[in-house]
Amino acid sequence: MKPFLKFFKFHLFSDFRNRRSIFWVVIFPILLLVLLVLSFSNLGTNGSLNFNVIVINESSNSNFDFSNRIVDIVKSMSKPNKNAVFTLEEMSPDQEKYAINKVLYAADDILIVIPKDFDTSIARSLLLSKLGANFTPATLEVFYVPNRAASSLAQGMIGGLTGAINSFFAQTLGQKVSVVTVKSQILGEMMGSPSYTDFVTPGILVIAPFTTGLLLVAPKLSFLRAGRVMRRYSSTPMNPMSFFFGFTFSRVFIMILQYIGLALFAIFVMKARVDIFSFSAFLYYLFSCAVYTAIGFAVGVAVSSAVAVSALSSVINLPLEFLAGIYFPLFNLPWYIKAFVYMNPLWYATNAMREFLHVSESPSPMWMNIFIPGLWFIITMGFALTKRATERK
Amino acid sequence: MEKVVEVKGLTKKYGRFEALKGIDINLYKGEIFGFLGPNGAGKTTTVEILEGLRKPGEGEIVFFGEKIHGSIPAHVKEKIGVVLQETRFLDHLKVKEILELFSSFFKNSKTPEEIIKMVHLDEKAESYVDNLSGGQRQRVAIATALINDPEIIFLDEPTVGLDPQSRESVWGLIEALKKNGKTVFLTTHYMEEAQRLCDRISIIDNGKIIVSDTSQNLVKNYGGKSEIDFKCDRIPSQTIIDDLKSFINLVDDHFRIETDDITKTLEELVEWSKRYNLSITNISLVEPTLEDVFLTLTGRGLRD
Repeated sequence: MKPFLKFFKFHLFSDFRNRRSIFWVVIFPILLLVLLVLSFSNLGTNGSLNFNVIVINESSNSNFDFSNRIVDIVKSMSKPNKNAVFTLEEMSPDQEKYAINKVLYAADDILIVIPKDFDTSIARSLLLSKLGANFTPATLEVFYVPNRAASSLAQGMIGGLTGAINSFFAQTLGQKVSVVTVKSQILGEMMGSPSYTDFVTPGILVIAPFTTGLLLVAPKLSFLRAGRVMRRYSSTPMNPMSFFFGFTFSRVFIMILQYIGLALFAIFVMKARVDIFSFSAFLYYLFSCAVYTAIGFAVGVAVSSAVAVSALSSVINLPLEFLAGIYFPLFNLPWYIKAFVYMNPLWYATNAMREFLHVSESPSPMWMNIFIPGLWFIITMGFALTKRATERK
Repeated sequence: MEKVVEVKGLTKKYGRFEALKGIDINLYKGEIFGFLGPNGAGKTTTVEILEGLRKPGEGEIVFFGEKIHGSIPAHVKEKIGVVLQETRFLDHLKVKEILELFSSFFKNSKTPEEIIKMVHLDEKAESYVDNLSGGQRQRVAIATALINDPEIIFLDEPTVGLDPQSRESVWGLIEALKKNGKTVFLTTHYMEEAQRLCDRISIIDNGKIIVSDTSQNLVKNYGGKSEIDFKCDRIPSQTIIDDLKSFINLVDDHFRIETDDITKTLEELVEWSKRYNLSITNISLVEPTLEDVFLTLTGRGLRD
């Protein structure tokens, strides 16, 4: 127990006295959060007169063609037509979750879903209105983010569009009717609509421990090996597990401090609306810390020179961070990049943290958010331990 | 003398390569034992096995009368101190903190303050180890080896890369260890270091110990002849030269005598010069060293 505590204490001393470590562990994540929010918080509110609209047509009644007419109307108002106000993207019904995320993360402004029974519903409404009976109008589902100007404006325009459709039917039938109504679905309801600060905060809470894993585990371990410090420890009666746990726990302790510091900064300074007290988020964060420490261990034992560790860390760090959807939502990626994203533990961690911090739903299933990073943990830790055992023979 | 370590027929293979081909070593209490050899001879493998850093192959290792099976057990490590070649320490830690860390590894240890005093680092106790000079850092390394008050200290090339002043300071520390009754196992390829410090020396080459003895005996038995080089104020005639009992060579403008007994030859030379009224100038003596011993035994130099 004594060596474990000493390793824990002195590794912390060593890092807290190092200005470079302080920069990367404390200052860098805060700077990153501030810079990202200052630079990109206006996403989707740039006053564009063209709105990105997604339409999903679930209705497929061969006798009535009202749903296709609605799509045609939106098409006529879309690019490449002159004076187009929309940029239309049509998607199939199985892509609804993906489409919702695109709107939520500002890649698109609005999603219109024409429900399965839309055509029959309109036909029924028309018939019943002729007979003078009461009827329930057909409903268009519209998904939008109210606090984003572009999304809100687009939603208003769709409201106007349904008004025009109802006027058309009123003229045809010779009486005032309302056969189509809009059912608005507000996105980002978990904590209200997410702002960019809300969006990026969970990502920063993923980057910070990941950076610590790469910068405070890998180079340190490499130095301890190359400088023969590990060999020196091995020549004493000290149990190697004392070093392993003392060192690892000191890293995890730093990561926990990062969580607390960053979350408080994000909430009180950047006004992020994230559920910092979510126990699930904290548990998942601890799990992520273990994964990133294992990655650091693997890099640290794979190469023994500081320069090589630094180069390898950069090679790992940059693509993993940029393809994790931390800074921007990831949409419309080519298949080979998508494959990389699906292998990226940071992508799953970001998704899970967004859900646990009650920012937005995870686009990947929660079991995958645990399974893939868990796989990374097993592989990297297995590699590190095997390599170390081989070296000792 | 009390035997503290006994190694019999120790072997070690790395794949097909035989690093150690059955070596025997005895370490006696209170002696400084020198282990010499060129790079790749098996020196580091031997010392790392004895330090518990590598698993031994075949053979027998006995520490303090206890036969060791496999790796060196923790209770034996409690009694040994290790100084690796060019040891580094965790950055941004103070000398006192490094020693506090190492003292936690042992059941019984001295206080960091005691050890700091012993290695004369009192003024640097609160200094960060990364700000120390090479010699001071090596003294910290020796301090970490002494924190558990060990009975044997393994020093692997402890003065490599140090300036002469720092080297002298480390030698002083090693001599102090001997005075305190510690046993020292020293590997080096500095001949003057081995000759000055070691009571006994073993020379290893190609995984085999080729000779073991005191440095004086090694030089005497395998070092070859000493040389006396000198000049005279005039070139003596062949008859005068022939009158000197020792065989004399004229090399350029100076003379060289090869001898087994340097004192006797010098006395003879002085008498000879007086007898023929010759004035001897620029006299120099070249005595054989362990380098010559190694050359004689292996046909190549220690640093080759």
